[in-house]
Amino acid sequence: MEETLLLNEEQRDALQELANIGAGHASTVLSQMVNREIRMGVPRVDVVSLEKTIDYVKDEKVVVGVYMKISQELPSYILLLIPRQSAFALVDLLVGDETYEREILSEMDKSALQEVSNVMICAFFDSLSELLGISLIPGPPVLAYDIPVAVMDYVLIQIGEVADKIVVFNVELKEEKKNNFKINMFLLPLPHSVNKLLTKLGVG
Amino acid sequence: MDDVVIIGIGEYVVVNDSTKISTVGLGSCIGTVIYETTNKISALSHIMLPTMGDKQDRIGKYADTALPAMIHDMEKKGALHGRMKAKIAGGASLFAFTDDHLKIGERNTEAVRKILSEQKIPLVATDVGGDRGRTIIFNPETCELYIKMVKKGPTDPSEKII
Repeated sequence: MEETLLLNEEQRDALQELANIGAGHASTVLSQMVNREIRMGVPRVDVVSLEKTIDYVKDEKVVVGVYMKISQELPSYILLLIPRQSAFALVDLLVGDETYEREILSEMDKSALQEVSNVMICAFFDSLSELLGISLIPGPPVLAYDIPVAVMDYVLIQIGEVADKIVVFNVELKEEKKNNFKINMFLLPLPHSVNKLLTKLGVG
Repeated sequence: MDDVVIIGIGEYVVVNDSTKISTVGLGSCIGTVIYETTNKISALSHIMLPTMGDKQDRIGKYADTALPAMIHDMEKKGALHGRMKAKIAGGASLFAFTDDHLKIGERNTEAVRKILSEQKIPLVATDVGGDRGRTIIFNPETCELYIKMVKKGPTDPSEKII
């Protein structure tokens, strides 16, 4: 049951580069959808214990979380966390109504966010599919609006059934000029997926 | 200011004074408060999964290992098993699924209920299920469990006490 996860520098770099490319594509489609310049932060690849994953997002009070699951060839979870104010700003851009003072998210707001996330995540995995020569088909996006820890624990529990440590790939996408929103992207591959990725990248 | 001890996922804490005990953001996880008023000993755990199985891992993460260990620690501090009472919160399903047959929140709730009943500790109040995460604070002075939730609809209450 117990799987050890240790990455050497070469493996970490390879994963970081891979995720970097995926995030770049996601960032491009986001930029096209909202017609704004998006800045991508420096991606991080870390091996952390499950409960420490929370540390990435503990400063945010309420977030919109959208996650999609990849089954078949590379079982993984991908999770987008959008802080509350960022989510509102993003919805304003998407729905085109910037005068309305939002306090909660309507069903339409939620589907707009779900759709943006869907397109971003698909762009992420399309580029990975192409690069690795394997087919990665994400399941439907699911959305929750809540405290970050509560949003993440479902995904962590799924992974927790098979591992106590995970490889976290995290990158921040930001729009700073006008609406000032940011999105945190997490790729959480299950442990055996990490090994498969490393083999595919020639650093296994 | 009142002191508050905040625990994270997979942790538990036992206090023998009036320090408040709290945990943030219970989604599918369960927060279990066990308290014994005669000797004023209170405890809180934040579990992720029902059973540890054959893994070697932190005991605080699993209902079947965390709760017995926490009860044992309470007894070591002088709590009487026969006077313990419990309150639980959490076990929500934040994501609306079409293909979710796992229902992890419900499984966690069931696991905690089962262990409390095996330990013969009466479960005096619960706030479980639903689609919202919970932040909880237990006050050993009043034995009240304060629950805070994110407001998602215009009529949603954002806090309650059980």
